[in-house]
Amino acid sequence: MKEISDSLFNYGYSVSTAMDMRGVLSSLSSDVIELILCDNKLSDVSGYDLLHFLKNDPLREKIPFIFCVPLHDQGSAKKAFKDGATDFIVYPIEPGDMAARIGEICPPPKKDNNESAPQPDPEIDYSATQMVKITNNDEERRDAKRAALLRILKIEISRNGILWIPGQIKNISAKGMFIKTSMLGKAGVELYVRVSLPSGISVVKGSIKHITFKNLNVSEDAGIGVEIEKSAEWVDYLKYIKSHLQKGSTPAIPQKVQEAPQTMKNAERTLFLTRGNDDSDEENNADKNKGASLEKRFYQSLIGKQLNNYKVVSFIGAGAMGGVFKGWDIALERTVALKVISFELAAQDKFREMFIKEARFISQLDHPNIASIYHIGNENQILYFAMEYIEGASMAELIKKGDKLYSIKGLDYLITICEALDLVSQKNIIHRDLKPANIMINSQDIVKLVDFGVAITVDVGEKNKEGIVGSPFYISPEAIQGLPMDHRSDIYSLGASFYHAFTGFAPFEGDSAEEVLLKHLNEELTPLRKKNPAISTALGKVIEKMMAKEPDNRFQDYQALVKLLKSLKSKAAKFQKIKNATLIFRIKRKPS
Amino acid sequence: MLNRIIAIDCSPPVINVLNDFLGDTITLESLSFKNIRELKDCRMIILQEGDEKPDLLKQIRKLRYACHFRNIPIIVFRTMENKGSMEPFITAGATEVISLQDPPAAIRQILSGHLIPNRQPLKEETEYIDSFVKNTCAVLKTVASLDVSFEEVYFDNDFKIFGDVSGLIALTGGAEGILGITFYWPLAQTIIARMMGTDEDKINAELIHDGVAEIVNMIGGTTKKDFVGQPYHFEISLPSVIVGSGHQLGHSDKMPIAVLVFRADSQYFAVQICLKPDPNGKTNGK
Amino acid sequence: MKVIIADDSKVMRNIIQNAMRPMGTEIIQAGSGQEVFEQLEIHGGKVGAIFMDWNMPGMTGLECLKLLKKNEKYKDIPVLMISTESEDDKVSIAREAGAKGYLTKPFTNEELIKFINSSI
Repeated sequence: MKEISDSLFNYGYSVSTAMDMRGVLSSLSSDVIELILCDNKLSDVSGYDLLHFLKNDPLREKIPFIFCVPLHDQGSAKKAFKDGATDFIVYPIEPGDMAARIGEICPPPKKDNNESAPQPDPEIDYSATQMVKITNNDEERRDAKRAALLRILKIEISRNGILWIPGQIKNISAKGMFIKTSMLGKAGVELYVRVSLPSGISVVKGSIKHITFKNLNVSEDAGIGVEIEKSAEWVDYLKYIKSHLQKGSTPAIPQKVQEAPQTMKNAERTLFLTRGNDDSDEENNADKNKGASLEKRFYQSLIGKQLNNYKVVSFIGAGAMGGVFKGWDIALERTVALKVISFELAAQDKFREMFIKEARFISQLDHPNIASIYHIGNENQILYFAMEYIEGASMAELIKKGDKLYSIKGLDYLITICEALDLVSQKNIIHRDLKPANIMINSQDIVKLVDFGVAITVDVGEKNKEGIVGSPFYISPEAIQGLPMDHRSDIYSLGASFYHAFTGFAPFEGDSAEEVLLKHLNEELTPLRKKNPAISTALGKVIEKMMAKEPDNRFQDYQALVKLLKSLKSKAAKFQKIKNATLIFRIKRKPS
Repeated sequence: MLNRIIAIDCSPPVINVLNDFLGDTITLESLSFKNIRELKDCRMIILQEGDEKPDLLKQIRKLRYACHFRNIPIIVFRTMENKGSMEPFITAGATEVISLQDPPAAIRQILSGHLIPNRQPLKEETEYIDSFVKNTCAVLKTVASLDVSFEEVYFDNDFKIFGDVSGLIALTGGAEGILGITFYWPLAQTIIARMMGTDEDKINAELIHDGVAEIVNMIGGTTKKDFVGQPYHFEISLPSVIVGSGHQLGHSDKMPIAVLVFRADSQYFAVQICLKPDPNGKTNGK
Repeated sequence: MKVIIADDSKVMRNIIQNAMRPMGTEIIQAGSGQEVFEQLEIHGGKVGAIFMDWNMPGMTGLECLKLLKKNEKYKDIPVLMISTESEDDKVSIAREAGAKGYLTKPFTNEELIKFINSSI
């Protein structure tokens, strides 16, 4: 065996050896194996058994399998070919002949003559004994290929999975890699390595083997040798690097972890589209992104600051009109939510007014289920208001978590919000941005409606001038069309929000905000029962009616809606008592 | 009240923009880099990018160093659009990179945001900060006979590391978070030499790495003892060491990070803590 | 007499070694729990004491202590913990596992010398 492997090594192949099936399998899981040469007798099983096993393994069946048998004990070539062997070699055989036969199936690596520097071998077998030097001096090659390669070798390492420090792979083998990085530690400590694969980001686990220290003032050369635990992700990554080295072309690598497709993210966000500005070309988008990043940077500058009597403690999120922070009122000694108007809006008097108007709206709405407002202030030209801080989760978070909201509790939330919105509508105010993210549930299980940022009074009337306002998943058809709106638009959005809460799916989904908006206008709503059979037909019908395309076909006021929901609730409660079961709305009749 | 803003080698357009935004309450001092004497009362530093300024990154680094870990915003103004990434400036120590082409409202808001005074710790934050202050001083006094004084605390959104060598330790168990200590080489070298009772020239990079890890380990270890039976009690893991400056690390849970600035003689170092109390308030001491 | 100093920190090992130098003891350094066993093997178990850190990569000092106490050959070697783990319950855990002494980090040189003298 040593003879064969030595001669193949001379022809440019890397060779791993194994004495038994176990050895073969462990090699296959840690190395990228391109071809298997096998005797008909291994120390634990026969070559035929191994062949049979591999050909039935979908991940390994494509690896060419060559029998290599001694002249005196050839076994059956016919059986071997029947089971899927690619070739059948009888030894003794001239090394050249052997290499030629193997070369037909799996050509040896070529030497690239254009490169003067020692070149990463494109045909590397990442066998445990061979460490492949991937990067040489940075000055040596600066072509596109190299740049692409360096990008792919960029990784991140972390001790705890929270803090990630960038690194660059300098050497790699099946056992692990040497990483140039700023994060050192101690030999033996465990760490995670985050690598990019075309399919996404993978994390492999490893431990520090050794650390390289350099001069005090040159941190660039510090690095760690990391032994990586064997895993499917690691094998994939080795394969990926190898294929990349072979191709030498720029691969499509994900640069950053993509949490969710951007479009869907936009769809969750409240839109401020200006009507008649449909030519949202790339330049516009770039501007928008830049605006968003400036916005974020502005919010960040406020962390750790004090606005008049309010300490800005941490950032909660960005709403339609501005950023929301957790704050502390030093005069009244209580936690507050601070809402700071975004700079983009702050520059326009119209929006400053709107922001102040929001504060006034909320101050009119004295209701236990509407987050109340404490103070409106202006410091250093930064306009903000302090309001009730709700310790808890938004309904959007509960949906995301997969909480079963199709319960009596969920129904209760809906009833409570309808009652709160009844007051809102009596004051002639439309919320305009009802969505799960604006429905908070606090630690005492009390629902609170938040974010009246884009609320208007009905008498503003006519076509509203800001264009489309609302969140694509939950926006009403009349809002999309820019038609006059009243409280029935809120009923639609509330219906859409609870459609999402009860079924786990937004009423209309799509790849872009535009697609979702079009569906609100034109597509028939899928009955709730179809998305979640646990929902009773009666409850489904209520939500479907709330979401009628025509405002006239919806509930015309909250009182009727509340009445109906309450009767549904008492039915469900009764049923629950009888059945003492989980909270299911649907009442199945027993066959009589 | 610190009301001094230093604009370094800025052109008239930038100065005009600043004067427009800042109004009369703040003194804008226009200086050339070589004339900067001290940053003591400085509330913000403004620099301007330009073709004739190949040393800008070096200047930012020097200024960041001279800030002694204090939270003085360094703002870089770019006069031309799309001249590449702002990353090198941030890595060098700039807080913000603004383009004159950015919407004026954005420039004003961002500058205003950075000029708002820092907040003092909340009562619950004081509870743990006091302990870390006490133990940082005690550890360095004990192991290196070094007198250390606590200068100030401020809060940041990100874990930013501007220093030569940092020891970092994850806090787990009941309360969760991160503890970090950041030095410049000379002070680290002095401390490790004193710890080992040897001359500074015998202290190489490896010993500094090792020693800084040990210091953060001891600060974490002694502090957790103070929190036995409280929601702030945590366990420590093995430390990591980060070399070099200009790292911005993400962190979890949007918890603010307390940055404690200490002084040892004429040198400074920083301790950063992000600590989320155990929500159940139980102690984790098994 | 020979003693083993087990600590993953080279700085700490050197500090302890310096403190013991005047006593004329032969010092063996170990960077992990595994190395303690390797060194014991090399020196045929003829070791007067082991100074042990708690938090080390791989086998922790406490795990190492427990293994030593289970080991017929080594169970009588006094183990002295030197650790940042300073809570009372941690100290009792180590004592119950068989640690003969416990010194918490940080310590002054005088405290260290006193600890060494009182324990060996």
